[in-house]
Amino acid sequence: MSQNQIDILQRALHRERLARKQAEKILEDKSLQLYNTAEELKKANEKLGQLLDEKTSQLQGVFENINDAYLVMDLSGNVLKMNDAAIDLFGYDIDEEDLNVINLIYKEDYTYAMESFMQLREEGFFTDYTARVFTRRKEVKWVHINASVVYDKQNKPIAAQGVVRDITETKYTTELIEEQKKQLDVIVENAPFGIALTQFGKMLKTNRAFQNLLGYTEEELKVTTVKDISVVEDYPESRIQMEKMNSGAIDNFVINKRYKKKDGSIIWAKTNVNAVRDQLGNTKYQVALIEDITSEREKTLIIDMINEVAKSILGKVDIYEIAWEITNSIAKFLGTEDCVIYLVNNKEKTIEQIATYGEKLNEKNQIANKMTLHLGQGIVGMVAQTGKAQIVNDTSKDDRYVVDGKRRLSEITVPILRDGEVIGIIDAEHNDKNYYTKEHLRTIQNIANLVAMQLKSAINLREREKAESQNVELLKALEKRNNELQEYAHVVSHDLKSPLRSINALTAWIKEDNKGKLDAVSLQNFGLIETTLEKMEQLIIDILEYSSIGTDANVTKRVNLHNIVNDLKQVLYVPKHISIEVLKVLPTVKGDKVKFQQVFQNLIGNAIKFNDKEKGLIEIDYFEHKTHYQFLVKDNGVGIEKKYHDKIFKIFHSLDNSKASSGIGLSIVKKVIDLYQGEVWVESKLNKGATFHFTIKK
Amino acid sequence: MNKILNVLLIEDDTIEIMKLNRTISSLKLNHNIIEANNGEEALKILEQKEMLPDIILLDLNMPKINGIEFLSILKKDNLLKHIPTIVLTTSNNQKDLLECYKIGIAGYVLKPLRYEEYVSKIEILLSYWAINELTKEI
Repeated sequence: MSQNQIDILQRALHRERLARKQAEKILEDKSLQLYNTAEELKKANEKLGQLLDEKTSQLQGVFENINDAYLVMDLSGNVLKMNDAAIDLFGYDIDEEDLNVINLIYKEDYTYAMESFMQLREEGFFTDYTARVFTRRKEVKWVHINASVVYDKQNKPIAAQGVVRDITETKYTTELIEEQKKQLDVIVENAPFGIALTQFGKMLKTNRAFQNLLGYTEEELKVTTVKDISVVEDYPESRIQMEKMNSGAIDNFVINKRYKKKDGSIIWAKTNVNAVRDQLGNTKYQVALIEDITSEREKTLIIDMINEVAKSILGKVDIYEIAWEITNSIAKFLGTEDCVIYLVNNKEKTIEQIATYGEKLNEKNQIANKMTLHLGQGIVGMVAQTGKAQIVNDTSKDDRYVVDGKRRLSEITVPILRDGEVIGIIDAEHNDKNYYTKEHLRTIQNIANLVAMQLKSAINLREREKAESQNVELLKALEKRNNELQEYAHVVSHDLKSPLRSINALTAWIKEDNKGKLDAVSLQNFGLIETTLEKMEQLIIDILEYSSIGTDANVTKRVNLHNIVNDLKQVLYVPKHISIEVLKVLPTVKGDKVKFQQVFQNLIGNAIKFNDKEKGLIEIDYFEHKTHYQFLVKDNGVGIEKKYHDKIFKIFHSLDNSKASSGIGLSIVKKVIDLYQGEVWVESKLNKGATFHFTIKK
Repeated sequence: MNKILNVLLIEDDTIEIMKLNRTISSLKLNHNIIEANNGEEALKILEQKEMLPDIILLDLNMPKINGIEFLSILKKDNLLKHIPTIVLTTSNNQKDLLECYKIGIAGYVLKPLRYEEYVSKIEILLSYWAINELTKEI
């Protein structure tokens, strides 16, 4: 082989090699293209499959996982397919046994079920079928079904599918709520207190009690605002509470307020307002509970007022003060402009104003133009006379009405009675006609009763004080008179004693000047003149002494009676044949020394004077008792006849005229003992001596 | 030697005046008795300051100015209040007695019923004052 050949061959080989390489490259490219395309296709295919899978599983999931029961049936009602929820609901499983939906129909709902099935077939669907089903477990369940017909490609109905929802629970709950609502309505409707649901001041709902309370119908109230039935005076407090509630500070409040009834009258009601809030806490509604407390309030007011009156007059003894206290309370209670208390003056047969309230007061809080009426004059005077309370509804039609200040159209007049006697009048007037009620009258009468007791005792006290002050005056006058009398007694005794002295001096001078010239008879007569003068003198002294004892036991110094008696033994003339024995040491008592002296002096003096025995014995003794001392002065003298035992203590009853006895001594003793609330008496028999007893209160 | 006293007797009762005069003469005393029938008269006498009495015997129950009133006037006078005044009365009224001593007296003598007793009381009284030292202030 030649080189050429070789070369040719080699070149040909090379060309061939190149061509092959080129072809290979093309193939490779094509192959890659194909591969790539195949890959893309594969990917797309995969994606499609995936999508399909997803869709299928999604559907499967929906079908199986929906909470509601789902079932597919043929047009005869045979169930072809059911999900787990359906199995649970009905208790049947078509994998285990056949099921026709007719078996599920609750007897009573059969007609309704058939109708609905017809509708399904004719219209292709039904919705909101709500009826009961009877499950395999023999339960009755409420279901809600939406169903539709399934068609094939030729639009021919081949089956029906339905979503069944178990609404047994819901149904039951709804019923329960309905039931509860009904119950609640019954409660609300029949509640004894008024209930109102309000929003923005409007009454959305009210119960019967509320309507009755205010005299409106439910419909009328729906177009009435809370403001319409409230009273202006109560606004401020309501507003404060409402603002607190709206701000969330409180959820409810209670207020006693007035309501205007349809007929215009006013009632008081305890109002309990509760807030119903939305989720944001804003007040959505208000529920108001309303309780009529008008009568309770009136009773409370009456009781409060009576209490107030009782308290205010307690311990007061001045009728004017009492009267002032009650006019204010009564006026406040009656809501009246004019209230006057009168006092009956039985002596003058008049009634005078003693306390007033309102326009009858002047700037100094005194009664302006104080009026005095005669018994029987005017309405007040009439009531004072008859003792019967009165209400005058229109004074312009009553002739008796006496204008005091100005005419007021209503008048209430109540007597203050004590033991059937009118001692005062409570009178109130009001500008309006027909203002006063029987309730007012009853209450004022109660007040009058209360006041009567206090007033009567006050009047008694005033009279007693008057009597006491009169007594004091009398006593003063008496004391003055006594003093005058005593002075008078002194002057008289002086005036009487002086002539005695003159006579005595004159007779002495005659005797002196005629010494030796007078005969025995004349001298004896002169002696008699002197004795007579002495007796006269003693009489004057005794009378003076008796009149000086007075009635005054006020001197309460301690007096040692033992000393007094011992002193007397020295002072008195005691003849030798008479002895005086003090058997015990005499006590010390309270009193006036001079008076006790007089007692002992007279008793001992008498015992000496009236002793006719050879050996006279006078004994002085005493006994102590619980409340008093008993003293005795015992003698063995002439004694006293029983019939004189009382008489001897009376003034000027001397039993013996021949002796120098004035008959006053024992009267002095009795007077002193009387003064010390003691007693004096004598035990004696004629010629058997006498024992004088006397007692002195400790 | 007893003094001779100038005695002012204030007494409205004639017999009482006679009693004192007779007593003095019967007792043979030389005292001078100046008589005044009542308080007014006595005050007139006392106005003449040169003739002031040594002692005054004063009755209480008198018309016009009574004894106590006279005594009060006397004690308000700076000159006259030193003259010893002896009350001579029938009144043993404790009130009078106390009142007199309160105002200021030199004695209180009760007139006894019996004339003899009166004489002896006056004798004692005058002899007592006769031995007393008496001021002669003018």
